[in-house]
Amino acid sequence: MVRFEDVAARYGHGPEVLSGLSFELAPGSFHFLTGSSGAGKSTLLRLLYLALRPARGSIHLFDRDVAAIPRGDLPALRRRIGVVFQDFRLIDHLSALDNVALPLRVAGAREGQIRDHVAELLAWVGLADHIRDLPPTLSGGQQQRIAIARAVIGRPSLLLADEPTGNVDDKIAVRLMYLFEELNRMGTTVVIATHNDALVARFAHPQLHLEGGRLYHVPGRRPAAPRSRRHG
Amino acid sequence: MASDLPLAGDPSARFLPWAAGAMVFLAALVLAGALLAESVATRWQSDLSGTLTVEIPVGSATGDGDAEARAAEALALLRRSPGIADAVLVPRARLERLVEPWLGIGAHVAELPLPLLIEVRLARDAAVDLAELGTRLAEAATGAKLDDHALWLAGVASAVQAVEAVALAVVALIAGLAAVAVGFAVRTGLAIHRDVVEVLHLIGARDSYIARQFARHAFLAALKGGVIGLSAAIGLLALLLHGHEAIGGTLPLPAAHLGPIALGAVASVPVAAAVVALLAALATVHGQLKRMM
Repeated sequence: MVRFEDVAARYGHGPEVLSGLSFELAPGSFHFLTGSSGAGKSTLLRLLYLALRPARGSIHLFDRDVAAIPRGDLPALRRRIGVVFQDFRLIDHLSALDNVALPLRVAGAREGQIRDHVAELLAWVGLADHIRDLPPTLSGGQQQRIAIARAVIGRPSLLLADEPTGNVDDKIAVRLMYLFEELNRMGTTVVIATHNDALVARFAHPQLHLEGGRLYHVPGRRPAAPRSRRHG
Repeated sequence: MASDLPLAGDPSARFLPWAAGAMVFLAALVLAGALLAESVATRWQSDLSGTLTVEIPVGSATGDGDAEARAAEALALLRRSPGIADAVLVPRARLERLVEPWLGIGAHVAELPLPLLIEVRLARDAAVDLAELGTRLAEAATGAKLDDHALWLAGVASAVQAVEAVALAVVALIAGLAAVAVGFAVRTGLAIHRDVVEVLHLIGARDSYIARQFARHAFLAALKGGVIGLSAAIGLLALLLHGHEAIGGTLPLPAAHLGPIALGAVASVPVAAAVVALLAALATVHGQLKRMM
């Protein structure tokens, strides 16, 4: 699913913020990405969701070398990746429904299908009464759930979430984790960046831990998915 | 469905219609001017087609007797010649009216040594040897000159061609400026909405999906402004043509008017401007997005 080989990352001509990253994510695996603030969790996610090219090394995604992928093939690849951004990155002038519908619209899905599917998902994340609301009129937690719904609406093969429970209370956080686990059970590979130690302890999935620009692997206490997994 | 990019609230949403309106106004005027010039030239050509003019000079220049007598000789020769349908002497009063606009009403036109003119109408499909006819006329009436208007019409045609070439260049320049203005507005829009564009990319939108939104916005803005610009141009043209008709009685100009095709061409300027805006927006967005991952 994902293979990093001696990958380094930098922004512009600045210093390398991550280096020597080598790991694999098996299909259907579930990992927490942990580390203190500024450790590079978001940068690693940016590499994963193809917003940043590696300064060194190679990244293989869905068995393709990212460096060799023609620009025209990137959209199809990105549609297989769902992303929950730390700052949500919702489009303020679009309703909750239209925000969540975006991945389907850019993929050319039919409008009738989009409406039904999106309304159902918004109801599932507890926002049935807010489908016409604009993001700025909603609370942080509600916006976060819209962002999560947008990330999962296209049934991605790889789900990346950057602090997805950072703005919700514990009850909602656990419910969202169950949603991610449900997706994982359906075959989606999940990586969740978080510094919520309680959540990490409660769900006990293996961790990719970033510290000092380096990646460490912490095995989970119990498997989250029935299938076998390996991590480097 | 709302557009993913809130382009309607951009400064360019206010700038583009005005810029397009001004450019369409200018382009429509230039195009209409060129088409009117062509219309006038065509009318002149049509009026003079199948006609000749014989000029009998008067005064000491010829040194050969009475002009009226020479004109009568010329008329007799013309009426005998094959291929000539009709030949009439232009009355002195009409000659004086012809020169009046250039010399002014009340000038002592009657005292001028105006040449005598014979209007000749050729028979339909007649093949007249003009060089031979000219030689025979000069022999029959000393100083008589045959004018088939070819030189004058060639001059008019050249002038109209020059006007059309200049008009075409001006319209092309305006289209180029419109494309640059749209490109500038689109680049500004991309900068303003960089975050949204990046999100669209990251959820799998193709460049064409994003470019279409900018193109649709530019097309509609240019069309809206273009219709206003065209309306203003039509109003000004109507005023100018009305003014031309007002002075048409004193200048020997045929009536200027635009036919249905010419009117269609002028009316299509806003659509052409909108298409230029659309293409410029597409090209700009694709060019800019290639720089993003």
